[in-house]
Amino acid sequence: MDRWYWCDSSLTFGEIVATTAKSIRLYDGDKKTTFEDGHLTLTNQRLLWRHESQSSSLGLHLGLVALVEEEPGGFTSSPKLILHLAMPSPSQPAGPVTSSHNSHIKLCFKHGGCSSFHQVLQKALTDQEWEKLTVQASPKNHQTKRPAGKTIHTGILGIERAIQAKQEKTNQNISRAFEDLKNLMDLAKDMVAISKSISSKIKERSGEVSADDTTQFRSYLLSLGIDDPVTRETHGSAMNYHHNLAREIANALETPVKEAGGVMLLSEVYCRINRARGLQLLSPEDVINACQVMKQSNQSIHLHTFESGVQVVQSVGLDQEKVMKDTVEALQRYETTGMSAGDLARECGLPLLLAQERLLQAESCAEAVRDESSQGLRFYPNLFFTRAAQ
Amino acid sequence: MTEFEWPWQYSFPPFFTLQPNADVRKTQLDAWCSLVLGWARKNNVGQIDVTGATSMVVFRNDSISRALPADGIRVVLDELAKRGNLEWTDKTKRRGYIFWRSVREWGQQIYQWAQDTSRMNTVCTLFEINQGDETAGQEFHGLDGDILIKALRALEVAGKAELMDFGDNQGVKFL
Repeated sequence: MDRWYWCDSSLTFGEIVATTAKSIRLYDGDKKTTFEDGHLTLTNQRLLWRHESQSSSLGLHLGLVALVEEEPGGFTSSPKLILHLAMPSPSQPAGPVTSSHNSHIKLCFKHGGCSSFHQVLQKALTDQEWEKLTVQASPKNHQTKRPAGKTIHTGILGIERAIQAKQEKTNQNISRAFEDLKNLMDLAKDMVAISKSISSKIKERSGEVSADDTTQFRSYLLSLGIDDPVTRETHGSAMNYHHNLAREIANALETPVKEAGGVMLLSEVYCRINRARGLQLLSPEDVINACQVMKQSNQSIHLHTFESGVQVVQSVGLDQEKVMKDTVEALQRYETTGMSAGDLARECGLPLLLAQERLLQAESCAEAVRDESSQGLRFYPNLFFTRAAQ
Repeated sequence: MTEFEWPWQYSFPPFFTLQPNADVRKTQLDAWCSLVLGWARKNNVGQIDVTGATSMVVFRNDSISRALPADGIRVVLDELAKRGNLEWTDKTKRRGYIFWRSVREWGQQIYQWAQDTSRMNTVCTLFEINQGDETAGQEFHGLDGDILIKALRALEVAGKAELMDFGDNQGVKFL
């Protein structure tokens, strides 16, 4: 309570009223005081409390407020704000109470408005406008002047300040980081726009790509670290590119395909070729296109599409009859129970999808017959033909 | 009466799945037709109801827990109809007469029997023919009434018999 001091009710230079509240009683610590039913004014520098019948006010400098807590009201008590205060400066004018062992006061809001007042007060505390005013302070408002150059490192206020400073710094860092990102995004936007216009021009063949556009595009690419972009110019027509790619894939995968029994799923081809290439990855579309032209360019492997749409790459010399014979032999081993695709996959060490294809192929050649039941699709050797002949 | 001897296909699981391969399916349907006809003959089945067929023992083998699905049964019955061993009672194809002998064959058999037992130019009731004691050893003993009439009508068309209607009872005169 000893932080309050007597002053007149007029505002000092640069002081702005933030909010007011009526019917406020002051507490010294947890004790009621006789200062009740007063008018409380919050400015950007002070709290001013004035009884309606009096001309002079009690002032409390906001710089002393370390922490504000809200105490909700109950049946018999009104809501209150608890203000924890720092020690007053020795130069402070006299107040109604000269000394108090309480370092906090309470503001009792008899007629409500506690929460909204709390918010405005909190904002005024964060803004710390009195600090700015002290720097350019005129001699007139020496009342609000704080000892210059002295920062408080101890007590609750010190800790609060430190935390606040830290938060501000983090905020600054984050906004700076996002600024960088924003720059990058702006750049990317430009690039996308240019590449779009170039591709549409190529497509339409209406207007020539201007030299200006190309150089700009190149400079963008360079700034991203791609110094030799793969373009139609460097690789000739798309057809030529795919033919070259087909040769590369065939060379790389000829042996693996043979080892895998002459057939390899396209998905595996894609994975293997990209693993072999390391960094210069191929798109799935390029791989398919390249595989499709393998037959034309007489490679040692070529693309085969099963009726079900499953695509594989197989050796040119693959002996279909032998594959069929193997499948039928496997089927005969499962004559009593029937064979699922999974069984064949285990038996011959094939991918499941491929095993399924083999069984379907055997079926279309009348070597296998299917059994659809609740246990799934199984295949049996075609006893309809073999037993009938016996 | 000896137990009906199921063919080997009956315990071959793929038999109960319609085969997509055309050649295989043809063989499969052959087997189905002969199984159904043989079974119908053994058990004297004259009519087949499509809705009830799924529960008929001929279309399911519980020992291998397989059953011919409803569309499969339809295909088999259609195939039988195509071969002249089945005749739908109406257009909705929900019931059908099953002929393990064709109508003409039945007519010939009955005519043969009439000749052998010298019933020419006499009148027999239909009951006599398919239920009577005198036909106990004949194949057409216990023949479905509707099929019997169809057989006799076939004879009538050939000029070998004449159907007569006595109100609640029907008779036939062999010529």
